[in-house]
Amino acid sequence: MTEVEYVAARAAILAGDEPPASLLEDCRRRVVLLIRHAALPAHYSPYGVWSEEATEEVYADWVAVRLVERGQLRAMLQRAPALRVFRRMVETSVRQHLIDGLKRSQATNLYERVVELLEGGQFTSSGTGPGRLWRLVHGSAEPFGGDDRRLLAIAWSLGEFRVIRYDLTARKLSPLLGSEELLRFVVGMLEAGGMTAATIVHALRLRFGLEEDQPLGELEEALHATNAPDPQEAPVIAELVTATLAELTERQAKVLMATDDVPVRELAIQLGCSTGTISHERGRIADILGRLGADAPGVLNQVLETLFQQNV
Amino acid sequence: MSCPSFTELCTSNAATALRDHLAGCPRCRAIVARVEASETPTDLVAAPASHVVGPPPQPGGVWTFWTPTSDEYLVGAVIEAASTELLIIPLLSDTTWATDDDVVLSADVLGYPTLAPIWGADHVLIEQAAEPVDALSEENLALLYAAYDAFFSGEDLPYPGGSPVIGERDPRIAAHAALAEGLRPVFAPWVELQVAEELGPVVAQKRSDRDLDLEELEIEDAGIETSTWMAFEAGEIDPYVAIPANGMVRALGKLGVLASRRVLDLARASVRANYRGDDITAAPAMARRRHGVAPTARPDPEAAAKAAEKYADALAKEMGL
Repeated sequence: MTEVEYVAARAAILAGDEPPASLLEDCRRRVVLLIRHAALPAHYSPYGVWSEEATEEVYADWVAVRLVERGQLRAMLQRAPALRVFRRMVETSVRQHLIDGLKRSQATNLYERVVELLEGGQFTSSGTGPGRLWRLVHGSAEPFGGDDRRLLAIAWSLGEFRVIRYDLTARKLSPLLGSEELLRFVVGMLEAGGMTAATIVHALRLRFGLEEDQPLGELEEALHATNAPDPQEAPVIAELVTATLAELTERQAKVLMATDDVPVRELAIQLGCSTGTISHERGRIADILGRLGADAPGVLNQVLETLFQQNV
Repeated sequence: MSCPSFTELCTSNAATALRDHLAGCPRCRAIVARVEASETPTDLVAAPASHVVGPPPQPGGVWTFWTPTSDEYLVGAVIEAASTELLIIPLLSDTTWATDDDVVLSADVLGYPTLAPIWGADHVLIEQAAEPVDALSEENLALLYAAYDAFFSGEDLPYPGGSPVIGERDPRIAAHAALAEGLRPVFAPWVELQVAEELGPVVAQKRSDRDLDLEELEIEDAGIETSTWMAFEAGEIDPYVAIPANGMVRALGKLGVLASRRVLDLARASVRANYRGDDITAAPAMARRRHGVAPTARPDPEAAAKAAEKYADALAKEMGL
């Protein structure tokens, strides 16, 4: 991609067009070059090595999650007037994406680790089961009574933590927060009052951004999606759009086209049916879209686009 | 300026194309030394002083803003708009460091979640507005107004984007400092034109900041004597009669002063303050004027204003405004 092509693509996308294949290909090339030139270590790879398959998987995942789902393509283009700036942002974004993935993968047994730590003898508790309240041996007996904002404020106040460590000797990653760091976190949190293990893990998730991303499977999320599909998947998407339109009834199509601004009651009046029917149709629409994979934002956008074009 | 992208450093002619940057950056030199060539380089593009087509920025508009010292645009929401300047709140795409002094706009506002650091609101020159990219709804604009008013009144934000900072070890304190640092270059062109109300002293300050000798301004090439320029910097001379517009614009360029309407305003002020034109109105005759005391010359304000406009017009033409 040349500078001139980039400037044209940038202007078009910011005006609402879909990203051209050449721009995505340039992004893919950034990923390949980053890996080829060892700018990304092997343990960043989902497979532990950088095979062609891993490269393609990372690229595809990054495009889907960052560029499309989170709208970062638009964010980067707005801030990058020149191709070299865009490429730099792409590299940063890919790297951050991989790091976020590492955090998630290394946080899988966080709850068990926190429980194990709490039961290790350095803390005291009252109660049993999930409601078991842990506190410092010489700490306050009062249970923590704050909301999530307060919980997060305390978690932030504990300072910096090394979230991910790579053990060069063992050639493996440590779990999210090493033992000492985890202990420091737990002690720091319990200084604010008694907490359950679940509350501490919740604080960890808030503090380190470990909330799992919700899959874009629900109708509401899909309806709110605005990003364009990967042009390289265009033939597949076209087939899905056609299949979806074929399976929807006329009323279902009209329900699908109604925006959130239209109250259910009003929509029911417009379509001459009950509000219960509207709810039912929405359920069916979700079934159809899910079954055909048409709840992916790119597909649904095209379904809606086609419907609205035909509605003019 | 930021480092080039990693892959740009991998290009075949990186060593020559990026010579200036590599000279001062050991990190990039090391990378260039380690990687093999494989990529076609792209042009180094300085931030463009684009000529905006369409209506000027208005409150509620979301624009990109450029600054001469960065190759990235800043996205920001316009809060107030005047003829020479804009008050903006930056809109950042990384929301990690949100505190209760920030507002977080959800993804349905700009297409991606956005951090609006209310504490980072400041002015830019209107010429720094590069392009409109979006517009805030009245609701979201009101949200930013309310947050701005609350923050600068020392009150809590009505809808804080993050949890409060309750300890000195909170890494968000340092993160905000770094963010403010990163934002500073964007506001610098406006800030450096606020140090005085006349162009001469502003230029003097800028020259001092950059530690530039008069020779480096090449004023003599434009037929301007050193003593004249020094008098101008001291605010003691009318630039309209003493400094040709092309010489002034060239010197401003050497100083790195952004061509802007604010500069024109400062130039007007310099002319008006020091105008000693032909149309002098003599001081009123005094009945018992002491012998030997000449009447004080009083410049004609209208003539001074006309001269100021003429000079501003000439500068604007030279600057391409």
